Amino acid sequence: MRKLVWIVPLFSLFVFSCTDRGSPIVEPEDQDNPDIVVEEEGITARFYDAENDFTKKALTSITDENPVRSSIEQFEDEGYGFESENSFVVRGVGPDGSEFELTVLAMSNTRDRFRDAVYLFCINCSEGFFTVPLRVSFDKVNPNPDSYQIDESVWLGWIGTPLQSVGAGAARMSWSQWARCVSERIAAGAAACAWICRYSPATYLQCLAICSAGQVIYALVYCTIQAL
Amino acid sequence: MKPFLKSVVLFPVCLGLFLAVLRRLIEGWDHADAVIWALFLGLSVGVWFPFLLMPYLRRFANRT
Repeated sequence: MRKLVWIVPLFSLFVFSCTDRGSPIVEPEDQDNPDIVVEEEGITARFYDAENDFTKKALTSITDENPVRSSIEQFEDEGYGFESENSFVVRGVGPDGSEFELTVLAMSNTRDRFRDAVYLFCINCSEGFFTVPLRVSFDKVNPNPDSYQIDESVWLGWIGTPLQSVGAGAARMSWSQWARCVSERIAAGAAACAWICRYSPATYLQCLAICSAGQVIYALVYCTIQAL
Repeated sequence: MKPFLKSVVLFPVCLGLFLAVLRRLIEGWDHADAVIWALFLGLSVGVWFPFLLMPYLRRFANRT
């Protein structure tokens, strides 16, 4: 039984270790010197220096000459979620006529606001370059201010009120980020509980239930404060 | 205060508050996340488990 109980937290940790959590955000030092500025349909995207050689190379090929013609073919307001199905695509044509495709994987980490968010991109993801991060911030994420609101989730119940009330431009996390924050901390806490409860004076399952309850409380408090 | 509230609710709430505020304060550090995770595990395993949770579980086990 004890071995079976380990499976949940270990599997959760494994899943989280395999998913893209986003790179740590440091406000772009070269905020005023983007490598490329793309304006389309009232949306301005500023592309900054990429973080690895491949992206630098790809970015250079795009930005060597001007102008860069780009079109934003799909720009969904769900684009700030962590899940890949919520990603959106920015396609453009470089000065040499070659097409490029940037796919938003996620709004990286939790500290940025929707209005000036930093996103992770991959270039030509379908060809397998799916781990290339590229920093970009949008002056205007979506013309409709309502879309800044974090997506409503009925199951969040009363917690939804304070988060949604500050969602327009002030919230620091989307719901998906908040849920991820909570679940990864519960997973880590459950793993710690599974280990420590081997030494419990109560039964293993009693200890696990009580200990996990404490970890859930911690996760909710921590992530909710982080989100506000 | 009831032992359950003190052991299972109060400490995690305080820990969550403390680490969330600290996280805000050290925002921008290169290893801020690692610091928070280390503090979380350290305070959980080093303080919460031995000094709050285990005594409560001992009482809980004796009672049942």
